[in-house]
Amino acid sequence: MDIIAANHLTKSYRQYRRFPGLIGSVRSLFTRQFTEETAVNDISFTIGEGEAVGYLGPNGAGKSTMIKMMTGILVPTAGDIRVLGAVPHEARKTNARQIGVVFGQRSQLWWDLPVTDSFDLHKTIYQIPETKFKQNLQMCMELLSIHEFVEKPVRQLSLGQRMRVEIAMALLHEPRILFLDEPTIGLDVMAKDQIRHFLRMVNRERKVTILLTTHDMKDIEEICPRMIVVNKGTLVYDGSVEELRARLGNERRVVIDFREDPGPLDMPGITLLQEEGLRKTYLVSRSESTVFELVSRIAARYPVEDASIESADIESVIRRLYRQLADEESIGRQIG
Amino acid sequence: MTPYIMFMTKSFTSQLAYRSDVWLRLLGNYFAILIQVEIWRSVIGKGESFGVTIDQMITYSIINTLLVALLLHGVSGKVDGSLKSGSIAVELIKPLSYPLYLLSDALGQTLYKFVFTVIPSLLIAWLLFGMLPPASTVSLIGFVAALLIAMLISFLLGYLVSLLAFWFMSHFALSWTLGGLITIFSGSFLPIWFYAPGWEFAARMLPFQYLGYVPAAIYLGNMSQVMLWQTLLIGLAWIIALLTIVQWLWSRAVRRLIVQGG
Amino acid sequence: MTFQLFGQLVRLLMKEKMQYRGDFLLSAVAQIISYAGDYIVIYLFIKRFDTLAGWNWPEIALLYSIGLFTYALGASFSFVQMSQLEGQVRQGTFDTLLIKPVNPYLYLVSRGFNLAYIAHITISGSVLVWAMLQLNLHWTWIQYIYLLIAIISGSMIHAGIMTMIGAMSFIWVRSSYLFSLFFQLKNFISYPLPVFGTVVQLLLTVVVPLGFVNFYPAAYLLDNDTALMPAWAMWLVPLAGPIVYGLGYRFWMFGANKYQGAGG
Repeated sequence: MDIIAANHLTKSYRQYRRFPGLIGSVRSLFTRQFTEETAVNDISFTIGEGEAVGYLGPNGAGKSTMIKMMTGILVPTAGDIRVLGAVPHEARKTNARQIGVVFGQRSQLWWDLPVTDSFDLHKTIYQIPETKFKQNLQMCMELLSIHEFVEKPVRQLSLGQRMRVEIAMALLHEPRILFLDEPTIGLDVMAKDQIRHFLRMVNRERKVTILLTTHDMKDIEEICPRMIVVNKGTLVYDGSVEELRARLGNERRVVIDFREDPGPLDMPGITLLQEEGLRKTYLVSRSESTVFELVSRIAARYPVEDASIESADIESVIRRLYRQLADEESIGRQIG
Repeated sequence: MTPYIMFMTKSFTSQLAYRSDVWLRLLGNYFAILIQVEIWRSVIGKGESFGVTIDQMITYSIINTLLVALLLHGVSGKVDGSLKSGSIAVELIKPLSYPLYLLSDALGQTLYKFVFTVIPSLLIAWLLFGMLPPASTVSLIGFVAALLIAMLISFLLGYLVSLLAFWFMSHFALSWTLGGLITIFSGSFLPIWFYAPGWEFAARMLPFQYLGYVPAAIYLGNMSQVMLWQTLLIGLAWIIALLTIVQWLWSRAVRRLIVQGG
Repeated sequence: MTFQLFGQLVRLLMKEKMQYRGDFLLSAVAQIISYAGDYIVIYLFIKRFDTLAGWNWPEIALLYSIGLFTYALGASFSFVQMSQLEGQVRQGTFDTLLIKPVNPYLYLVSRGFNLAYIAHITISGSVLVWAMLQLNLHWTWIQYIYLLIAIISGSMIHAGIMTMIGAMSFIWVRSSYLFSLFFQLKNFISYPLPVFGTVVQLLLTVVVPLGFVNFYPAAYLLDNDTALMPAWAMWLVPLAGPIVYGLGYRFWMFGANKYQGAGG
């Protein structure tokens, strides 16, 4: 069953421009000009109940705008979006009870009051029954280890602690979908790990559908089997992480420890990436020959101590995707 | 001197970003002057009362309404802002005098208001309500001097408040109190010569009269020459006194800030 | 939005304020000093000129106090909420309001319910009672009830206008200068309306009906000159508040819709 369905969804904004300089500011006393900016451009996809989807794209790709349309904050300019079978902005209040939203950069907590006060208020706003509230709170506090600081005022919490609280709060009313806008931004590795494990559990065991935007590919790798990539408002990839890797990741990194410096290798299809004494990292394109073959050929000709083949990490895959898009675009511009 | 002029131009140009405010500000000033003019018309009528003519009171009201745009005690809000956000540390690292930086920043804003609000408002008021010229050349010179004194005293008072906020940590309360004292003792609505005797005495003993009453009274030629120079001299004395207090507080505040920061 | 939720919000707001008890008290005292300044200047004025448009000092004190008291009540539900809206819209924090299963207006207004107006209420309430005692009124209970209704209605006028200005944040992005214009207009009603010309009287009766906040009710209650309005118009006073507030609410919701992109 589709829990979210976007159909040719478009959102554009008007951006008013200011005129520069002194004369410009006098001029802007009298006139106003704007440009139309398309943040989301004709995007379609569906998400089934229980999925975990990463929504990726460079800054300004329209990720937040998409989340805002799905949560009913913004109304699309064109196209159609359905969440839980309803149009989000029309069914804003009823949908709000069934979704949880976490904005990484916008706290919803009471700065000067203990964490518990924010939880209690949430209970009243969402009219959560006492027993259900207690159960969920208990579960979240344990798994996110919130116990230690639940009586502290929010202003004394670290960023990681605060984010854990935000996520816990978004789950107290048992939402069917959890939207997270950059939930791990600015956190340290430990905090990120704990949040990823928790979200993974929430998705796999509690069957909560998750949609998250992020810049950290690790988030995707650990939580989301599926990813949607957008660039400048348009959808450029929708599918599994594995598939994308297969499509773009036809390069592998090979790390070789030499017994003595071999000098430049006389071998087609490899590029030296990095050099740390006798340990050298190469990029090998797979189309030329299989990586294993290549490594054994090197080992036959040069004094190799040890070699290891690394599969391309998702981050470099994505980076390649963006680069490829940028190239296509500049070619397009040249032709056009 | 150049960096300070740069700060001034920077704050001047940053004000330019606010379109549409200009119109509303002009309208606001018009309302403010209208209220006072109508009140004076209603108690003085067309002639004069207590030796003051209606034209003089209209001029008095116009000067005082527009003078507000030139006063600088708003700097305390800026200091408070950088104290709360912690950006004060960055400002203190710069090899510059912090008060001079504040003053040039505030002057830039004032210059903006002067060009875009005070001058057009003055024209409007002059056309709609009529305004007397300065009583004499001496009055005009005295008036300009009094304006400078008003700006400096208001700056120092605002700065004093922001320094006191280092200790009391309640800038809000201090600035409201300052506002109340200015309302009562500046004579910007009701000229001090109309005050009941006890209140008049108090107002004349305090520096707040320089932020309203003094410039307007000098402009109208309401002071004898001797009294004019005497008033300006006392104004200078106030500036020196405030400067001394502020300097002393500043040195202690910096020490306190360093201790807190470490 | 339930009373239970409002009650809980007020409890949290009080708890929050009590964290900075000293600061709260100092601020209240400072605000009282500041408003005392306004009273003192008007007092000095009347002491010199005896009356203003036929109103003596206790009458003016009553007029001014109703204006300040109703402003404080209305502003506790609107001023900070509406003047901060501009920034919230710009920074996107307004969005967090729209993801809650509540009416965004009611939540915004209650979440920002401002206890700090206690200072305004204290000083204006005390002066109001003092002025009523000075005036030696022989009122029946109808007049007392009329005053009470007028105060509620006046608060709604203030809140309604400020709500409209706040809604401009959605449309115009900047609204702060409209607030200062509003405060300039509000200065008119510190004095009896007949002081001003017909244009201003019309402006404050029809366009921005601040005259209904304090001048008309006070003039009826004190049997003073009611300027433009005939005697039966005293019954417009209880209506003005709900009408202005209702319009303000509708306009705010229209603005919020526009922000969401529904209104074009």
